[in-house]
Amino acid sequence: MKTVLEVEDLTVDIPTEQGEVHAVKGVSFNLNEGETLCLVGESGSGKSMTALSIIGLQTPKARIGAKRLTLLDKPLHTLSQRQLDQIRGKDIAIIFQDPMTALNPTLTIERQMIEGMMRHEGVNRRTARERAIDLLNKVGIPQAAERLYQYPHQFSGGQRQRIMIAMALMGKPSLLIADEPTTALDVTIQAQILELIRSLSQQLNFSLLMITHDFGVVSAMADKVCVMYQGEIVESGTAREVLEHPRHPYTQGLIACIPVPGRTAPGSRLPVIEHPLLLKEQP
Amino acid sequence: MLRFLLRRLLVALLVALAVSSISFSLAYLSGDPAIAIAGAGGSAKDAELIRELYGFDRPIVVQYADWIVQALQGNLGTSYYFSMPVSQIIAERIPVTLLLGTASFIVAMLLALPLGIIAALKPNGLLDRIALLIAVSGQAIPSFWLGLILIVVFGVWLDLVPISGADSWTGFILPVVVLSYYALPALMRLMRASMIDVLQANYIRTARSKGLGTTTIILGHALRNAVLPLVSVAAVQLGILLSGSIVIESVFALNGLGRLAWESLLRSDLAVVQGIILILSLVYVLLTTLADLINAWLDPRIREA
Amino acid sequence: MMTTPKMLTLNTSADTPSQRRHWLTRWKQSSILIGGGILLLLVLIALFAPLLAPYEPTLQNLEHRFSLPFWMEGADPAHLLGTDHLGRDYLSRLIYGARISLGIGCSVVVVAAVIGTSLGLLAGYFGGRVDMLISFLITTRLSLPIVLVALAAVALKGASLTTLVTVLSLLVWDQFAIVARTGSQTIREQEYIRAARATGASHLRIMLREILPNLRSTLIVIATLEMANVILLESALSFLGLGVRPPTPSWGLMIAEGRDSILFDSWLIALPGGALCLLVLAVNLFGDGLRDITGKEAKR
Repeated sequence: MKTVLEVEDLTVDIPTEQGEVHAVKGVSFNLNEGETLCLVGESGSGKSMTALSIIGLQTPKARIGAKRLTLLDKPLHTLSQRQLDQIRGKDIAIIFQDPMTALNPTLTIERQMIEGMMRHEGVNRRTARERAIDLLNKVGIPQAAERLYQYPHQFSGGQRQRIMIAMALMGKPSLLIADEPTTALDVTIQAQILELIRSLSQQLNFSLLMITHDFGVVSAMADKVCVMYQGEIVESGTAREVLEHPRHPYTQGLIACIPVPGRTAPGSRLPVIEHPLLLKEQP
Repeated sequence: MLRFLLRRLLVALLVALAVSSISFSLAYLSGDPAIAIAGAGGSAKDAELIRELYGFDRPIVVQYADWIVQALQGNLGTSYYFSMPVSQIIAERIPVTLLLGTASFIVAMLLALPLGIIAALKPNGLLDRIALLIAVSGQAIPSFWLGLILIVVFGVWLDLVPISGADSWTGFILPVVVLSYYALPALMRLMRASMIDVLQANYIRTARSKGLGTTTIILGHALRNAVLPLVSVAAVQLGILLSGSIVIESVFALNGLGRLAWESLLRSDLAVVQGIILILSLVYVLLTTLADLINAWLDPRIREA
Repeated sequence: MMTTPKMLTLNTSADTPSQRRHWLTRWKQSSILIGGGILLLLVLIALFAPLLAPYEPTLQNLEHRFSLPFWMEGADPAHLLGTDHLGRDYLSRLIYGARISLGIGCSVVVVAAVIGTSLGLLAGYFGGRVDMLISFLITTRLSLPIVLVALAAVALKGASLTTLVTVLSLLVWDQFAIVARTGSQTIREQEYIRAARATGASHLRIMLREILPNLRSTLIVIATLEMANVILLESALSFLGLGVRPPTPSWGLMIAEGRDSILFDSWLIALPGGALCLLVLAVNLFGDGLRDITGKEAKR
């Protein structure tokens, strides 16, 4: 199987007044074609930093180092801003946590969807528009051809995240980074969006790097898991291995946080609410 | 949108009414407008004559109602000094003020937008500090004094421009410089602050993730949002430039509305002053309404409401 | 199990927030220090004008008209900054001019602050019809051309310091009202205001004891910036001959008087204009610094 993303010994250092903060300390993982890898950890564990530095969206002051950081064997971390711009939105795309603020409120969906493709592929407006309509249909926006000319505020949060997904896929990326894509959404919509991303990744065969703090999401999505803690990967393996036999106490703690039907979280005396994702994904 | 427009129109109408009563009552500040018009040298008999001529002997309410009704028909009264309808005099003088105000406004905007954007791109960079210096000094220098200094330097010492009057376009250079420098700081500072805010928005990060270049992001994505808060302030500034040019017009001896108002005041030609105040207030209301419309055009979220 | 917000914000600026804070802190401190220092100096000069001024500011000496200031050839050592067209000592007039600018600036701002804050508090606290009425007042005020109305009022009422202060106060209260209105609208919804209501505190008491103290720092900043505005207004009115009456030494008036000799003795307008710039700059710097420190508006 083809390796899409290779990360070896990635470090991210951020200089501050109080000295250097080592946000990511030597992280390594591989991601194959069509595979889904979940980076799991609590906030501040460095998982978002890792993902953002792959696509070059880290804070400007941050310094990135890596033995190897390649997308389809092309190095990423040594690129100039201009070279990076040619890859972003084409070979790598990203969707963010909060769909309410991730779209420009003053521009139509059409403009926001097609501008990247027109720039990268030099196609005309009509071609780009056709692809946009096609993708909006795929992500489940009804009447895409008309709604294309609407503005973000005319869509619900779930719909906006669908639009973000469609927009990310405009350049037919080989790698999609999803940075907590469901955290800001209603629980009922979370499941739909995850299911959408999963089916699209199978359909369009892109690799997915998913950032989450939620092992429920892991069990629903992941082929492979890396658990991050304080800037380091403390445990990694296939999703099944890690979920069923977590070795690191931190992982065990995180997994214990998920409410599972029939199992009460340690120390908890409260009745557990059934987790819709786990219910759905139980074999 | 239609309701929004109607509501704005209603407010504009009410404001015009309030302004008209204020400007009407100005005549009574001195106690007796007839004596004010007759001037210090006028006798009691002159005052009596004026009182009858202008109808000051009628009850105030009647006078006000009459004034309003007349104003609604475009009749702002008669200037006793020119013996001409006030509206006609204003129409003759307003082009200079409009030209001066809009030219200064355009120059100020053309400088404020790029300077504000550049300052926002690298906060605390060299360009930002220069911009700050321009803003801080622009806010401290009295415009009439700057005008005089520029006259001395460019008109007298260097003899580059005429020192007064507007017989040719060169006469407008210095006044426009002074007025645009006056309007620049507020516009530039707001542009900078707004741009800094917008550049930190999530949708800018989204735009970057699409591989758009910096120029596209700034001009295509950030500017439209950053300019939103600027629109209403710009409208206010234009209003101030149009009404505040009174000092500059007198410094540069330009025959605009401001100078007319000042001279009319000095010769107690009240009808003219009242007319000018009313016109300028209406222009202001018009401008702020226009700003709301522009904002609605720029921001689809307002358009809906 | 909620996620906390992202630990890192992204921006395209070259500075990390911490470094910007560092630079800003220095700028704030220096602008407050410089602005405050100059302001203090000018206030002291105004207060001790009778001790500092070598002559009476209105004392005419027609034999010594247009004496040149010390840096020019042929200066009169008796008059450090020369004399004006009536032979009055220019230094003394400049010193006394500080009194006029600062005096009018302070009194107008105090009166305007009282008017504006009261209206704003009422509008924000009670809302509804009261708010509609007061908001309309604010709109009307904003649409009046300040300079022109002030000129007209002073011209018709007769120029005196009292008239000037009254007229200007009635024209510059709007910013106070706007800030107080928005502020009290926000604060009104807070829990502790409801708690105060529940314990039976009167509306007046809540407005004065609970809401007003919260707006204090913002209002002080507005007051400073408005004062710069008022000083410029006064000088413009006096310059046009419809402000402070001669022979009272006002910087704006001095510029107007010097205007006739602008071709030969341009220092006559340069000096009072420079003094005005210095004062307004100091007040603005002080206000800007204050605003940044109170953090109500982190951007300059």
